[in-house]
Amino acid sequence: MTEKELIKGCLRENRKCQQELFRRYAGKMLVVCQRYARHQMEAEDILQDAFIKIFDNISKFESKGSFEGWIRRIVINTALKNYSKKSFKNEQIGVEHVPEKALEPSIYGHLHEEELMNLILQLPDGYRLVFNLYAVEGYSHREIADMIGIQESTSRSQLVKARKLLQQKIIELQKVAV
Amino acid sequence: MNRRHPTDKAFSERLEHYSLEPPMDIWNRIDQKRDWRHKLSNHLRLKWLVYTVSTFAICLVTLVSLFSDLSKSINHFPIPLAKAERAQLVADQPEKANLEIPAPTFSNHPKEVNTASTTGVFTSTSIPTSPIPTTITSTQQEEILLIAPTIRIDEDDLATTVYPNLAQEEIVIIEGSTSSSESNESISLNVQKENTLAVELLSNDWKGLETNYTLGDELRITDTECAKFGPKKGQLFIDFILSPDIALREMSPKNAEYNDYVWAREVSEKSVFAYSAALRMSVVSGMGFVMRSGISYSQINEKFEHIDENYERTEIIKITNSLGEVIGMDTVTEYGTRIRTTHNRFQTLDLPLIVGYELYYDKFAFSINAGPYFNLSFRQKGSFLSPTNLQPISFSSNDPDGIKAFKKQLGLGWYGSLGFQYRLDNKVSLLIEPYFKIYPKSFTNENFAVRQRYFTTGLSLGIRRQL
Repeated sequence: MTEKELIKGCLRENRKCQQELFRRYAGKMLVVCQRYARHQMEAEDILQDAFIKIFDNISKFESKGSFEGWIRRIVINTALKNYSKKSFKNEQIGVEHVPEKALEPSIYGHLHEEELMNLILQLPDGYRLVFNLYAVEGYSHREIADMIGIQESTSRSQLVKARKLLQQKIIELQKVAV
Repeated sequence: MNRRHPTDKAFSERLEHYSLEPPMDIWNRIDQKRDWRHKLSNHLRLKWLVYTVSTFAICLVTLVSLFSDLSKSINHFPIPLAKAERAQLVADQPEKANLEIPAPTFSNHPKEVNTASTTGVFTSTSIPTSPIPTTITSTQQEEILLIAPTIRIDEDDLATTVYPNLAQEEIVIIEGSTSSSESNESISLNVQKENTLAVELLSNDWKGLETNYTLGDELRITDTECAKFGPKKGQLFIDFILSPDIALREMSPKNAEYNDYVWAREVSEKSVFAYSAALRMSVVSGMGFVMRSGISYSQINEKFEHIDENYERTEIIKITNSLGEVIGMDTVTEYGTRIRTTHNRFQTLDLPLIVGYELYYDKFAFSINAGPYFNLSFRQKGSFLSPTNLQPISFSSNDPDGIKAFKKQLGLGWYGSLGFQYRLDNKVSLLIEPYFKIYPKSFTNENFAVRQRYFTTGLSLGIRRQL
C-alpha cells in the first residue's frame, strides 16, 4: 500500500489502513518517544497519544512535505507537552570540570545504537530535551526556545552541558572497554 | 556554513533510522481510545462544508415550511379575497372592463373545486385538467365545462356581459344552484359541438386558446387544489410509545480460535423478549417534514442456561442430639446434574434524532421516519460462558472487578420506521409505528473473544398529544 493510499484510508477511518500506518511508523517513533521520555512506560504513553492525534488530524496533513516528518513533529510536540518546564529549568549538574577537548569521531563509530540511546537516557531531563531537539532533530536554538518556553541562551548552555556529559560518559565507556 | 559538532553528527546519523518493535498492545489501546466520538468529530471536521450546507438547507426548508402562508389550511382558500373583490368590481362595471373570457381547460374527467365564497360569485366549478382528444366526432355531444371563477354575474346576463364572444352561441345552463349557507353555485355549459365556441376552440391548438381567451392574471385561478386539513405551519407534538420487540443477535468470533466458544454461547443463550419505550417531541412543518427527538430506553432479555452433569456439592452439616446440642460434624457430598439459569439483560438509553415526512388524510396520518440513535448509556447484567474455560461467569456493568466483556457506550445506532396515526380528537392521536433499529458496532469490547451485535425490530404503540 502506498503512502497516499494509506493516508486516504486513514481519512476514511479505515481501521486496516490505520493499523498499517501504525505498524509502519510506530517503531521509529517509539525511539523518538524513548529519547524524550523518562522511562519506557512514559514513552509508550507518548506514542499512544501521538498516534491518536495523528489519526484525528490526518486531514490537516498537506501532501507537500514528508509524511514521516509530519508524524515526527506530532510525536515530538506530544512528548514536549509531557514535560513541565519546572522539571528541568533549575537543574544543576556538576559537569563544569569535564574537559573541553572534542572526542575523536572514530570513537562514536564503535558505539551501537542501543548504547547511544542509553547515553541519551542517562542525561538529565533538560539536557536531554535540548540535545534531542538540537542535535538529533535539527531544530535551532530559537525554535527550541519557542517550543519549550526557555531563553535561547538557556538552550545553548543546556546543549553545551549535555555534550560535555555525553562525552564524559563515552570516555567512561571506552575505559571500561579497554 | 556551520560545521556540525561531531557528537551531534554521530547521534543524529546513527539514530536517524533506528527503530524498535513497538508493543502491539499500544495499537489496541489507541484503537480503543479512539472511540466513536473521535471518529465522528474527525468525520465532521472533514465533511463540515457538506454538513453545514445540508444543515442550512434543511433549516431553510423547515423555516419556509413553518412560516410560509401556504394554502393548506382550512382558512385559506385558493383565491385571495382581494382578487374576488376586484373581480366583483369588474363584474359590476362590465362596460369599463376590458375583459376576456377565461381560457377553458378540458378534461374527460372533470373534478370539483371550491373557489372564493362571496355572494353571487361562482364558487363551485367543474375544473377540467387536460384537453379533450381531437378525435371527437362531429356528432358527439360533449359537456364542456368552463371556468368562470370570480366574476359576479347574473345568470341572465351571462351571455351578453361577461361572455360577449359567446353571445351568438347556444349556451344552456344546465345546473345552477345556490347554497344559502355557503353561497356556492355550480355552472356548466352544455354546448353543441357544431355551433359552440368550445368545439370551435377544440380545433385550435392550446396556445391559441390561451391567447384568445384569457382573463387577466389577476382573475385567473392559479391554484386549483382543495384546502387540506393537515397541520398548519409548525406544530409541536409529544409522543409516548411502548413497543414489544424482537432482538436478533449476531455473534462472530474475533478469530478462528473462538469458533467453539461462539457455538457454546449460541447453545447456552437464547433470546427471551425485548421491549422499548420512548418519550419524544415531534416538530411537524406545514409541508409535512418532521423532526423528532427525545429519550429512548430499550431492554433486551436473554436466558442463559448451563447444565453441569458432573456437579458436585459438598456440605458440612452439624449433627445434633435430641436436645439440639451439636454432638458432631459431618461432611456430605452430593453428585448430580445442576441446571443454572440466569436472565441476562442489556439496557440502552439513547437519544434519537429522527427526521421524517408525514401525510394527512382526514383523521389518518402516515409517516416515514429515519435517523441516528446516539447511545447515552449501555448497562448489562447476567452470566455467560467464560471464553477461557467455558464455565459460567457473571458480568455486570455495576461490578468494576467483573469481566470487561461489554462496552460502556454503543456509539451510533440507526433507526427506521413507518408510522400510522389515527386522530381521536383535535389534540390526541393514537400511534402505531413498526420500526427497526440496528447498532452497527459490537456490544463487546474490541479485545473480547467475540463480536456481539443486535438488530431490533418491534411495533411501537403509543399516544401523541399536540402541545
